[in-house]
Amino acid sequence: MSDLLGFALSGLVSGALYALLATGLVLSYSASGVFNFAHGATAYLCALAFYELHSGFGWPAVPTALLLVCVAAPALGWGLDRLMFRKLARVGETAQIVATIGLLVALPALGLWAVELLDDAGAPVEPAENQFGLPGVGPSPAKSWQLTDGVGVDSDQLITWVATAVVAVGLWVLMRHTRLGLRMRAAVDNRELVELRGISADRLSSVAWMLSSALAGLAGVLATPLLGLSSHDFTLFLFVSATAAVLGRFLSVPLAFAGGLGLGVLQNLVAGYADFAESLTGFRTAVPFLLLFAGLLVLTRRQRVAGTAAVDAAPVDYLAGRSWGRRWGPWTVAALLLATAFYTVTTPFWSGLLAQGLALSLVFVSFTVVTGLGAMVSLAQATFVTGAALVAGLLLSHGWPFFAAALVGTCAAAVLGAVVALPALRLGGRSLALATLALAFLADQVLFQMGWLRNGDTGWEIPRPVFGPVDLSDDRAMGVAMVVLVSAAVASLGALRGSASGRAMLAVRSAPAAAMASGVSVVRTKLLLFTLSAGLAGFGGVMYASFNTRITATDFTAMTGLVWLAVVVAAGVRRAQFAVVAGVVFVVVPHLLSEYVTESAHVPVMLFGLAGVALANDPDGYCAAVSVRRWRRLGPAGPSPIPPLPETGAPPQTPYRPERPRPQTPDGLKPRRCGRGVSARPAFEDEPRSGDSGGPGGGSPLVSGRGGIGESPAQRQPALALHDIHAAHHTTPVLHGVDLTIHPGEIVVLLGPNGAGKSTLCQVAAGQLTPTQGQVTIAGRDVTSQRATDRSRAGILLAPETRAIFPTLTIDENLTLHLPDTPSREAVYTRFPALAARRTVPAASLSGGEQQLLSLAPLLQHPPDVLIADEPSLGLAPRVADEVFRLLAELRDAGTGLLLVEEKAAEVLGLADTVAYLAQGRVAWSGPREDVRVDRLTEAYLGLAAPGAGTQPHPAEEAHHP
Amino acid sequence: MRFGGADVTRRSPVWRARHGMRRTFQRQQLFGQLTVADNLLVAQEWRGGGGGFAADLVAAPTRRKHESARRTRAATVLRECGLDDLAGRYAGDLPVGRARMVELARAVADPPAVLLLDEPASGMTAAERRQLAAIVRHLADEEGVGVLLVEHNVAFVMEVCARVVVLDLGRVLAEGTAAEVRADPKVRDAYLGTAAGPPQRPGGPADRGDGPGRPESC
Repeated sequence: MSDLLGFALSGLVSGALYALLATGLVLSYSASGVFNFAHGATAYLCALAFYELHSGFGWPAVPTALLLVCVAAPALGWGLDRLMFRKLARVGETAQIVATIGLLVALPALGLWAVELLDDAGAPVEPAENQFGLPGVGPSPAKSWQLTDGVGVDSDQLITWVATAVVAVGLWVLMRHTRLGLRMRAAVDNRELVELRGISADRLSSVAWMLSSALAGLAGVLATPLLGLSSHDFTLFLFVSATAAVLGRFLSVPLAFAGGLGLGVLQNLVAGYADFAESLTGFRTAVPFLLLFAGLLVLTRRQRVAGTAAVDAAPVDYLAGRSWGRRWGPWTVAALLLATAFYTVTTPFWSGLLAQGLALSLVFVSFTVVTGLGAMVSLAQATFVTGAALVAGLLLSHGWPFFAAALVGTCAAAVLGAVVALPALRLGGRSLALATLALAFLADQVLFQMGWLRNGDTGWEIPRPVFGPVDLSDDRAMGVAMVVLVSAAVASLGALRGSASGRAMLAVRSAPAAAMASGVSVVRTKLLLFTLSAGLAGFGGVMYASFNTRITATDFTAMTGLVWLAVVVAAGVRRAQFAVVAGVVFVVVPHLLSEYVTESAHVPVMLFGLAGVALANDPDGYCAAVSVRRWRRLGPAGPSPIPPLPETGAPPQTPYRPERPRPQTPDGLKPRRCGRGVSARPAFEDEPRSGDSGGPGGGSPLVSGRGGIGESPAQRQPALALHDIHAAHHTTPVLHGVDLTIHPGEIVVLLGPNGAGKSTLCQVAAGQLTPTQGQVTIAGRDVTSQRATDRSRAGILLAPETRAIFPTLTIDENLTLHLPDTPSREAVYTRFPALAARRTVPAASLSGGEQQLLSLAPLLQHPPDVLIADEPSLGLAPRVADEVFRLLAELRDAGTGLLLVEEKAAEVLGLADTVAYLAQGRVAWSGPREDVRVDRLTEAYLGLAAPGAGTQPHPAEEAHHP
Repeated sequence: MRFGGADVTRRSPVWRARHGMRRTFQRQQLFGQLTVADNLLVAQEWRGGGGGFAADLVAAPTRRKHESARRTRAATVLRECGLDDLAGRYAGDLPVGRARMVELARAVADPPAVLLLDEPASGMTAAERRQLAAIVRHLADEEGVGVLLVEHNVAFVMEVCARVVVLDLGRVLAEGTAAEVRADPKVRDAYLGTAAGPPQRPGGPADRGDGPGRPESC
């Protein structure tokens, strides 16, 4: 029993740290969409700073810790958000993953280098060695107390628990009881809607990064006594806590927190009780990674890919159409020169260095396959290297010939790759990267711990091969052999890219759904990619090991693979040649630096990491960036534009009905008179019309339209005017010159079939989408370039097609976002008793109609200048729809200009002052409600005239002659 | 769901594609990293031949005969679709109308038995739409392809389709020739959302009652 308690208590210590880290991960991911692989590096940096300031400089522990956690760490988070994460949110997921991995590599090196510099400058720093029992925030050495027989706690553990509890309570108060917390939760729920409500989501994301960084800093400071100062351990620790974040689906802070605590305890209990694991060395430490892998498989939702257009644009091909010689000539010459150099120019030292770089290039080329061709991030490449080399070494020790051993080793790596890929393939992006990393750690800690495979710490000897007269133990011969092998690999990948299999791989990468619809098996193609990449990495591993003449199980850990990834992707993964450049650079640069710049081993690591970070600016890598920039400067500006097909005859709206040509309305909406307030509104006859005075001269004709025709001087400016709006989704043009005005106190109903561009128009009006052409004005002021947040502050509100509520917030919290003062909220509850009765219920549990009321009700308290409602009655029962319309009428009476967008006409017609009809991105006609006739709608919707409509004047003609 | 007489309800998309059921997508799904001609090659290359993946790794000449036959087919289809001048362009940076046409060309590159077109005309210019209509008619009339066309643009549907089925909230509302469907009051009501037929007087009250013929939207 006391065993159990002991295990649980010590598990709670690491659990508390996992909880802190996982909470930070979830906070930053949910606020910005960037998964921060470098979270553990932040923790490490703070731990290092704490250790140096406290133990080295002798600063008092508690103030130092507070300074780091409350000031330094948030400042780091803020700076990184500004410099990096915001840019990263706009680049592809591969660049996001690699850039944060680059940061993970660079930050600890930066810290260690700073310590070295301080040491050189004579500051009293301590060597940052990995040792246990380093002083924490509490007394050192830690005081310990015996609770019962065999169960003890010490002061460091107590401090960890107390600090974590304080943080948990603090976060709870912040998130549940402050305005900032409410907004942050709202932003996680629906970031777009937060911006539509005039709250800057960017600022909330900054706050989230600062909080996240502070939590990492706290975890780092608290973890110092437990973990020592190894950046490797900190990163491992982070990936364990990533499991907790996965449990919270990267979104739920409480789940992640609880998951972290539970994970710590579970890990300890397994360590204590799983006797069966005795035979499997390393199984205990591997438990979290098993959980991480399983969690990713179970909890990751498959993304719907066919719902979005595939916009995987090809890289700028600056050599398009050039001859073979221009494409490959320089590389061939370079390879020949290098091969000759080995026997003419280079010193033995440089021969060795270059041969080593080339051997590593073979491994690096494997990244070109999986990441360049397949657009997948594999963090297990180092595992394939180690696996293949260990197997080859094992066979060589049994007297196999080198060739056969290398072949079997390569095949073993390929099989390992297939085994890793099979379960992980249905994941993509970040989840795939984490899953491969989990498997890499599992391999490190279980597979490569098996004695028969690793042969203890000495590993296996892999002598360099001898083929007849060619003895590769000479570095020069090895170098030439490597040039040949690397050239063969690069040429083979070039051939693959231009072949049927390569096309299938690129097809699967760009548009998997379409690849399936074209008969390409996505699973087989991805499996092939992974297997080929693993095999290539394995072969490179055997060659690299044979260059070193030895392989041990710890030569290339999963962490090595992370550095490699940053180096290769930073150089560029589009072409295999770039990986060769990366391989040579990776070996040569540290030597050059130590020769000419600094002895420090940390500077090259830092540079490699920063190269990965630079992907935020150049997602295609520096090799590509250099040539493309030169090409842009010297060459022609891109491919020639594609001429449109010649137009012949019929007007765009009705291309297939040339026999009945229709007068075009070039401007769409014509200036028209429109009566307001004179017609009957049958559904709302019993409503008070008190607000009529809110409109100019209630009941008098009101001119709606952008022109000045018929406008009286007393006429108020339109509250919102759209002029000649052209807009596109991605590259698909949707709106082709729309004009629309909404006056205060006017209801404009915009009708149109599905796909006409109605929702796009709403997005343009609300500032979510910048038009490609045209102007948006609010009360005469040009706001075309303003984003949604500013437009919302200027009084333009959009109620989007999806319900404008925050589903996980309670009704009261939803209202509070709008109406911070209690009296206004009470007024809403008085008006809508149905809401009052359920004010503590999450809004998601309301019915569709109640949700719509909840989103509109607070507007009555402070009516906006303009409300744009996208399909407000969609999916509502008639009674509820009536209530929604009544609410909208009330808003109109309070002076709000309304733009109601509907697909089905009848329900809103009773409410309209002006009706506009949108078809295929243009306003086909518009006019006062009184002029709307069913045949006109029929004409517009069905593209044909109603029976007997021939006697009616054509609407477009009528528009010219009102 | 039966296809060519066999039950295919549980068949994978890949199986269906290989047995002659090809489609285009509502949002274009082109292989942006490949040229237009290569997009059409991918659609034929599941047939393999000449040694497969291993042959590709060493650029084996055995693959060439198959590839050149497929390139010829691709060139023919591109010419028929009026895309021959774009064959060497990357599919990732085409304007939307051309991209849709490339999708169509890709779907017919490996001659299909059934072609599913999901809103093929949206985003097209008038001239492109005319061209599309001609191609679809040609496929149906001359090449015997069964075409299922999903479209909002009613004028286009009326022009191209022999038989029209109107769906409303997952149910078949009407079926028949274009003329029959256009005369069907149920269709009119579903589109306009009117309840008991059209409003009685111009600009008059739109009845909001639950009359007969009201589409099942509530």
